Amino acid sequence: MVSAEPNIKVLSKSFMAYSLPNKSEKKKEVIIPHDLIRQLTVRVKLLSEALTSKEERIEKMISILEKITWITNPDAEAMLLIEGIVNDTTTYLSHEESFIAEVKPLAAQGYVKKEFKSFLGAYDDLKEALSDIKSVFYTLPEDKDFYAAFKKLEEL
Amino acid sequence: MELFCSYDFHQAYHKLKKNNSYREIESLILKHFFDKTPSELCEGTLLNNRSEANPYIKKRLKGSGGFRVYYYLYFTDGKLFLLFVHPKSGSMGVPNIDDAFKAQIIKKLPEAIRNKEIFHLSKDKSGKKIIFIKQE
Repeated sequence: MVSAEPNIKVLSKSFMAYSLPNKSEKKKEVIIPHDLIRQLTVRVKLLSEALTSKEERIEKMISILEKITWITNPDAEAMLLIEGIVNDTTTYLSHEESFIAEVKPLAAQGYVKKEFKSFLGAYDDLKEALSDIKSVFYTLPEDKDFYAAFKKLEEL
Repeated sequence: MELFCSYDFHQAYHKLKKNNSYREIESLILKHFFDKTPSELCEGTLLNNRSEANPYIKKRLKGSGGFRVYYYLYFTDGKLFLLFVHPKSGSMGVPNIDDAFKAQIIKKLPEAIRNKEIFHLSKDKSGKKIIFIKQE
């Protein structure tokens, strides 16, 4: 015999030290996952609410941007205000772009997926509304043939 | 208001209708453009606000991911001309049309009316389908 034969009583005791969690471990086992799930649920709910609220805000912004286009023949003062609104919308979109970059990995993991998709749709619509405002007040008025078409239509 | 549409609209609309994902376009056009008062039709983005002309409008149908419809309201004669439609999402979706195209579809209208290259739109007996009749 090269080495001493293992003692089953000693091994059994050693094994039990690992196989049975002590009181402190048991406490942690119960609290930590429960706490994590609770915290995660609360945070996900907050994020979901934030996305819904942002979407509602964007819809209101779009509605106002659409109404602005019904201001006919705006004077210099109105054009200054419109320019301010265009700049504010551009800044807002850029701010939301950073937010999107932060939330995107979470949505990819399945969190707030539906709300995020819906918010992205609204964000895209706001970009579209901004592009339309620029068309209406800056680009299309430069196109003389565009306005000439309405004259031709009136004369029919 | 009497409803008409351009060839551009007619072509875009029928392409959409053939695609299962966009079939609701018919019910949306019926809902938003038939039997409406002029004030109900004056909603959306006014594209020609630098004149006192009749309005050329872009309307969002079904919000984000829905459709965009371009039309001209000829109040004087009680006529509405649908000029173009596109979806925002899906395989045929586009984010927006560019300014050149927005201008092009209205610039073509006077000539199209003169040459009767337009369709008249009405509802069938069930009220659930649109009938397009080419003008003679």
